[in-house]
Amino acid sequence: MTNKPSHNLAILGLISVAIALTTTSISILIYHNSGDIYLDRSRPGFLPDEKEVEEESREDYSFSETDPLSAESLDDYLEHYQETLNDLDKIESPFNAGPLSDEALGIPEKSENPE
Amino acid sequence: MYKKFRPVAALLLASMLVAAPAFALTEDQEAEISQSCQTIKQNLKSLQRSDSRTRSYLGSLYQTFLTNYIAPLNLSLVKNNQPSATITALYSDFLNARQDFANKFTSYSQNFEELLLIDCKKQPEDFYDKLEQTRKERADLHSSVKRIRTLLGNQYVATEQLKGGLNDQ
Repeated sequence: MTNKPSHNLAILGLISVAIALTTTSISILIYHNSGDIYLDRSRPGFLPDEKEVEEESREDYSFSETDPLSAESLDDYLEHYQETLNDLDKIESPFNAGPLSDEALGIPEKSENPE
Repeated sequence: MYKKFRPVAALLLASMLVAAPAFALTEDQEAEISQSCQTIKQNLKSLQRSDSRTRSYLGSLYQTFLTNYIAPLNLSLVKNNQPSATITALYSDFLNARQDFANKFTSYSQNFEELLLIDCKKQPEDFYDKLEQTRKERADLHSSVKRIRTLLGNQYVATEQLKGGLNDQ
């Protein structure tokens, strides 16, 4: 006579593991294909520096949509807006070609295919 | 009989020319890339981390602009019965531009990852071809960032004009 309860338990265990592996694989696939992996700064080597964390924790201005619209409120808006624009301009020419150039990567000069 | 195959032959030849890499590496260049492979890879990984920081920084600022400035101003104009077609259009353009930036960064990062997976020691030609592709993606990303900066500048100007209009009232 076969020991059915332990046999069924083993099958249940295997099915559970298979389901877990499948769902985890799908999650990782979605995580990778959606591009979220490239925004995830909790990955090893991509953690934010201490200095970055300090800079991010300062207070933000927010324009009130409920207060009446006035020249003074817009003055305030423009002042803070300009400050935020200045923060944006701290990075000069983001994603420009320089860092991927042959020189920057240490690749010798190439030649073009004669057409 | 062979005249029938001339257009097909011409098409095949044209496709081969198009598929050929635009920049051919000489044997010396291939050898140098193979030799400097480790250094090149280190530089690329360093750039990848730097790009991630830049993306994070820009992304958080774009979000700040959207939630603290652009969207509330737009809502305020509607609530105060002073809708502005310019500011509404800028809001819509900014949303599209921001999404475009996110898509382009994802595409660029995927290419970058694929580039890092190629063994430049054994496959310098393939590596360089992929590098060229990644450069194009980076150029697209750079254009996207410039577009967003222009829109943010336009938003500032439009708001100044709006303020001027309120002063006149």
